[in-house]
Amino acid sequence: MSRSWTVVDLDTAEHRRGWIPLRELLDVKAFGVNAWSVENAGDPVIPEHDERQTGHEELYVVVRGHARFSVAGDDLDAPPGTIVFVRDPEARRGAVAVEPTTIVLSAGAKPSSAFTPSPWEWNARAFQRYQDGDYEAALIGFREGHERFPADSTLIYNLACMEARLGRRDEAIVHLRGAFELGATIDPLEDDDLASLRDDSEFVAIAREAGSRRERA
Amino acid sequence: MTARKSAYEVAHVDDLDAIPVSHGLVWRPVRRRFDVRAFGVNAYTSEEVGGQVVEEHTESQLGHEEIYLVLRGSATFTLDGEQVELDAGSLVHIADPDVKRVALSHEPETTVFALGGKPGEAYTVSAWEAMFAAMPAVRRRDWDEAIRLHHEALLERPDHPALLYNLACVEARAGRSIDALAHLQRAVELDPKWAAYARTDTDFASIRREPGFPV
Repeated sequence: MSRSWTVVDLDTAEHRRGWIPLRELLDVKAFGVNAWSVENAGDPVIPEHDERQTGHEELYVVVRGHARFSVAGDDLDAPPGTIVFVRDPEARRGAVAVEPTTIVLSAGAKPSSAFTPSPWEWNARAFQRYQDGDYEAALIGFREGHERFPADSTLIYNLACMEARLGRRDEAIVHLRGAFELGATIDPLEDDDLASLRDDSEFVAIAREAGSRRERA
Repeated sequence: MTARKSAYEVAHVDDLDAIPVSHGLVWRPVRRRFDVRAFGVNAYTSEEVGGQVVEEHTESQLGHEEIYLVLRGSATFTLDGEQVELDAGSLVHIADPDVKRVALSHEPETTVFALGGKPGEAYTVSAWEAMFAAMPAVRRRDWDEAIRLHHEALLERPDHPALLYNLACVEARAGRSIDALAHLQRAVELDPKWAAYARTDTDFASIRREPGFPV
């Protein structure tokens, strides 16, 4: 019989470039939860971001070490035991370790809504494979994410990038077009992942249309 | 006019309110402090080494899955009778609401951070928070404050039987018989099990012989 609880030691848990994906590891279904662990002072422990897309409230607690948060332009000193609650999804937030071995736990969800995992998780997992240079594995990850979240412009855009990297021109064009129809705002002409498409007339047309949309916005 | 809430708030766990509950457990309200609306979150310390840092309970009624993180010190968790030792930096995720859980501190300053919510449902504030929050007022017999805290919680959940029952307890002790009887009757109307509790609850000594007391 399997136990109905799971123990995790944040000091020894395997992390992916500092990210301990607790929600995924524990299959938490009621709220988002992750931990972030960095070894060196000066390392970013919470990547700078906002929660506009998810509408999440987020709460951070400094478990170990010492961090400096930046929230809505304010600097916040955060020794262990500090709790930072960011109510406004639009507030930019991030944190940097000011001591070696700093660990921060984060939890988040959207008020008045049942929690569902956000596309961010799939994107982050696949992006790490991309950072490792394993484009095939990254493509699989972005595709899984796109199939689960077909309305997410980032996942389909990144899927197109991997297809372009791997020489799958036709799929890349279809997904790139889909990304801009979903509202992607990136300039594809500036993206090295799409370098193999630069002389493709369909790509040029997509890039021109995307540029026009950005100007109109 | 309503005040606009700030984009963020910060507090150290040591600066949170410290509300003794029972068996040494001290509730450090986090959700209530920040008015978190998307999930349950609290911290707990203990009045003495060996005291509770998680009260003995299940989540069967609320259906919550929970995560307990030992933020400082160390604690022994007992989960359905099985002991699990957790040091600072370790956490336990309890997916099954029916698991009976309790934790005792091993060291001074042991602090446990708890997160909870019900899968598939939007979070709603648990009624027990208002009851815990009213404990200091009840202990100092500040009935007006204890009643105010219950009414505040009832604004969000007007038909919560446990809240109505506890409000009735406070009102009975405050000598407000008519209010106590009305709220007790409403609690029993919503959930008849409260009649059985009321029959032996010493808080109702002053109204037990009143007409309309649930029998």
